[in-house]
Amino acid sequence: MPYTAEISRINPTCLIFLVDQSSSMLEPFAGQEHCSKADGVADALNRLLQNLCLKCARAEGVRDFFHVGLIGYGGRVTSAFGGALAGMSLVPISQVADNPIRVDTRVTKSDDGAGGVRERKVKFPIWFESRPTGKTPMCGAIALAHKHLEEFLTAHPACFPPAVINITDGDATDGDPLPVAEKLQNLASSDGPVLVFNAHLSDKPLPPVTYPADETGLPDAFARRLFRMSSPLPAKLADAARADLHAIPPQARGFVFNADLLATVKFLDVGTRLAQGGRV
Amino acid sequence: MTLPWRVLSSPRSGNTAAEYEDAWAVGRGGTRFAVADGASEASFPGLWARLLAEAFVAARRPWDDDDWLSRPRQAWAREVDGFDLPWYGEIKREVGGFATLLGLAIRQPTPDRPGRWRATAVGDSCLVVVPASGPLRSFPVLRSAEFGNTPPLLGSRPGGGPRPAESRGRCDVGDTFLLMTDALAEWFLRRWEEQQRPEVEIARLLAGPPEAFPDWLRRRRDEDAFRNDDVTLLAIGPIPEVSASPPE
Repeated sequence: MPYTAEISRINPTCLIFLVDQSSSMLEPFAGQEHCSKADGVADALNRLLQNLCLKCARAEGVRDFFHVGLIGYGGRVTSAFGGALAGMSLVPISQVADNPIRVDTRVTKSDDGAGGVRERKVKFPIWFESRPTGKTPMCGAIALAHKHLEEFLTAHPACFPPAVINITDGDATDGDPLPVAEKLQNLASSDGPVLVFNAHLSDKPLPPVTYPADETGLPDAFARRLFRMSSPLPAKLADAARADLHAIPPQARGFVFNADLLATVKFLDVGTRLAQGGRV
Repeated sequence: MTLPWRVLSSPRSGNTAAEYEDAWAVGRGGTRFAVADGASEASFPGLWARLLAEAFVAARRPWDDDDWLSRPRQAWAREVDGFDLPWYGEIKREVGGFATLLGLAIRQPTPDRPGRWRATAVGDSCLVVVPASGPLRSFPVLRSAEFGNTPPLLGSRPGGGPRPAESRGRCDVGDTFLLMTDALAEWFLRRWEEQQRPEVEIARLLAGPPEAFPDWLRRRRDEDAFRNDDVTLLAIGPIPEVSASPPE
């Protein structure tokens, strides 16, 4: 049965995030005037990487269950890691954990249980800082992910299939991304094909389309193209998505269109549930 | 005369002995027993599981309330709060360690009165009572399908926590009590549901040399869908007579 391989230190898997850094990402999410799409995505990605590090952390250190890639595409296509990880393609999670650009301290507020508010200082490591500029060379980003995964799969042929999560607010400007994405989806480990998920971010106040099983209801050719570029959710991730949403149809794809900030955060969480659904 | 007891344990395949995060303890003159399973993603889970199991077997009346938890919680904090940790260790330490706990007290039968046992559990470590005669009984998990990835857990930081499940029963001469952490318990209940008599296989294992246990586990993981995890078996009471053939 596919998508059942154990994720371990000797059999790690890989997560690659493709992050649109085109200039339109400077615009806000619908209904979030003070939060640009770029900053919202950066925050969500940093939080996700933090949770992944915590998931893999043990008393003696962080165990390399995952290798992580972060590719930004805007003025150019390049690794989006900064600081000591600048320029690196796939980074073992232990090195991610030990090398944030910096560790911010943020104040969180929560109910103190007595009708008041409790403030706590929490550490918030930063690995990704958005720098939107230029157009949308999505094909170049997908091709770079393909190159990284070819190498990873040669080294780890029995891994749990890697996942590529593409976050974009617009169509590619460097060609048709569908054949490039299909070539990526044709890569596979012995446990199944590489997973490709797509999140489209919107600055329009429209209801998001989440995890559709077919193209019905998608508004235009761009949305249909992103749908075709998206893999069906494996059972484990479909179950995780159902925990957040009321209905995930069979054959649902890992795809969300017109996502606002909240839908984006939830999508990223589901997309990386392969880290959380099983015991690593 | 105290009941005989024996422990078989093994870390998850691919982990070292130092990375074993289950724990077991015997106390109060061989009348109190416990196994605990530290949650791998929590902070210093093996330490917490050990402190929890040891505190349970030492506590006077752990069933009355949860005051007995304050001692292992303070011991855990004393041990880990002084460590210099990276940012991820600090965040985890603030949240605390977490573990399942299965505790058992046994009063043996005497000519004047019947024996009794009393068990408490948080999480999915399981007790299986193999009586000298009559059906097996499991607690707190009744069916193999009930095992999942998020059992209730006891935390090492003060405040709150799940309410323990409790069970009691009669203890007769010849009864055997098996305390197991979840990977072994899931296998046992599944084999029981398939009418494969896992208690006979466990009895053979207990009668054999302890060095046979890792090989037996390896075969179970290869052949029987036995989940790869730390394994602990604390067996109390007599081991039934077995044939000369070794465990499969």
